[in-house]
Amino acid sequence: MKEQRQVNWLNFIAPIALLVILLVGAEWYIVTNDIPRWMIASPSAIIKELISSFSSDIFPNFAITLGEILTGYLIAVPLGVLIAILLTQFYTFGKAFAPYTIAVISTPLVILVPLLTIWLGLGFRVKVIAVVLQSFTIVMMNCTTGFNNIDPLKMELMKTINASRWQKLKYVILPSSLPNIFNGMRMSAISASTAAIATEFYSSTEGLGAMILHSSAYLNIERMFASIVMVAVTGITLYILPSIIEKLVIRWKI
Amino acid sequence: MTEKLKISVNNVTKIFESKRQNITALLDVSMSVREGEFVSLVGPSGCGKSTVIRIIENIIPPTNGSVTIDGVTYTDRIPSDILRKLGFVFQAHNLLPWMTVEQNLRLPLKAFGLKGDKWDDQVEMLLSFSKLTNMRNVYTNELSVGMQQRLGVVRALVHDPEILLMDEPFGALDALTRDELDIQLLDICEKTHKTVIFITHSVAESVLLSDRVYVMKTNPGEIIGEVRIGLPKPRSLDMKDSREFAEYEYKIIDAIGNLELSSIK
Repeated sequence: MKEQRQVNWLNFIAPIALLVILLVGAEWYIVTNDIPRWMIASPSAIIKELISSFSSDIFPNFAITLGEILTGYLIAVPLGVLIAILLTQFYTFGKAFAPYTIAVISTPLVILVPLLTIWLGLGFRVKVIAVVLQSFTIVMMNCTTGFNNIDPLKMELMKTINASRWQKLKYVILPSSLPNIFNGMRMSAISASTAAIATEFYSSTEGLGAMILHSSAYLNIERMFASIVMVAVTGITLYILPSIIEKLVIRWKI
Repeated sequence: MTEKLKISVNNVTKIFESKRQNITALLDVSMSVREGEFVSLVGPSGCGKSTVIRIIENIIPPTNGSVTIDGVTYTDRIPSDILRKLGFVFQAHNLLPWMTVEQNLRLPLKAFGLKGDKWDDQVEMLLSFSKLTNMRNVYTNELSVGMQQRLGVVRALVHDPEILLMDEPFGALDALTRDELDIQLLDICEKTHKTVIFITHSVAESVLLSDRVYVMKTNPGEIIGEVRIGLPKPRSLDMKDSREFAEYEYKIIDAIGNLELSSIK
């Protein structure tokens, strides 16, 4: 038990120690070698910028981008699950759509951003749609894998109790596929962030992507790095979220 | 005197088709079981025993032939009211790991739409019978194998079926637990007058439990013999030591013509 406690402590301390070492090392290197300000910002400058502009610029833009990502994500996940259910439950429907789902999944949907902007203009809506398009495909693909790989023995059990289609979904197919669903949520979290930022790059005056572009235009490297840090924070949060929910939902030993 | 047939398997043939070869799992198999009878199927691995009861349960359809239960004949689709009369016990418990003991037990009731005090009492009775009352809120993956198997058996009984189809239910258990459950099973069947088709690898188990034993061979799966077990009922474990018991065992083993099955315990 003592060994385990030591290991857990190490899990926490080691990455933080590494970060501190890297930041201190970078700071030292940048300062001593007099690296120009327009090329890279020192960690201390980035932190200064984060603190000074936090409430005025950084947090508002962060909130906007986070809002775009979350809204799109919360639409994409149920949509992906639902479409996966339809594709796997209705055989002909699934067969008809099979080649197209592959096309949709393998195309980076951010290429549609210019078109979407023509249709939907600038603003919140176009970002959300881009996030939904990019994310739901990944959720759908993971769910389909899960729904198509159910233990046949459990389906035999359903047959013996005369289970209806919906009972099969409720008692076997969905619970059995929960790991796949959560995996889809993790994977799509990554592309949700990318889709939102990419759309902002193309056409936006607000949000973290916009902030990165504008600060690069003004060579405000500190702000640019600060934005990049915030994007990373968004990505990490969104990625961890499904794992936290998974631990709460899956209380049984698999 | 014609006694009423509860179950009759009518010239069932089952061929599994695959790209490489066709496998004739069953060839022209016919069986009949009267109401209240306990019938075992014994034979080497792959002789189609599991296939037969899966066809009776309508998990898979026969290639040829049909099944008749209580006068109703079916091939591809079993009528719901007949399905309701069947209880199936799987070889490997086949419990749902994302549900607790009680939830697993209640599942057939939910699916068959059976509600009310009568069924709640049934659940309580079966929980206590299988000694799982204290484990009712435990997830099934946390149970021991013996407990899981007992749960599998009582789950098949929860909707009070008239017929039990059991696919080597006690195969994974140790000899002592197996003996105990064998006697408990006989007890339930006597009291509730159930009709049972029981698959086992153990010749001794089949002699202990059954009124009749069908002996099957493999490749293709066919019935090669039928042995009537004349031991008195109710049966008890000490009957296993009798000469009569051994004679029945030898009769069955003889019919199989293969001493590898003599798991005389």
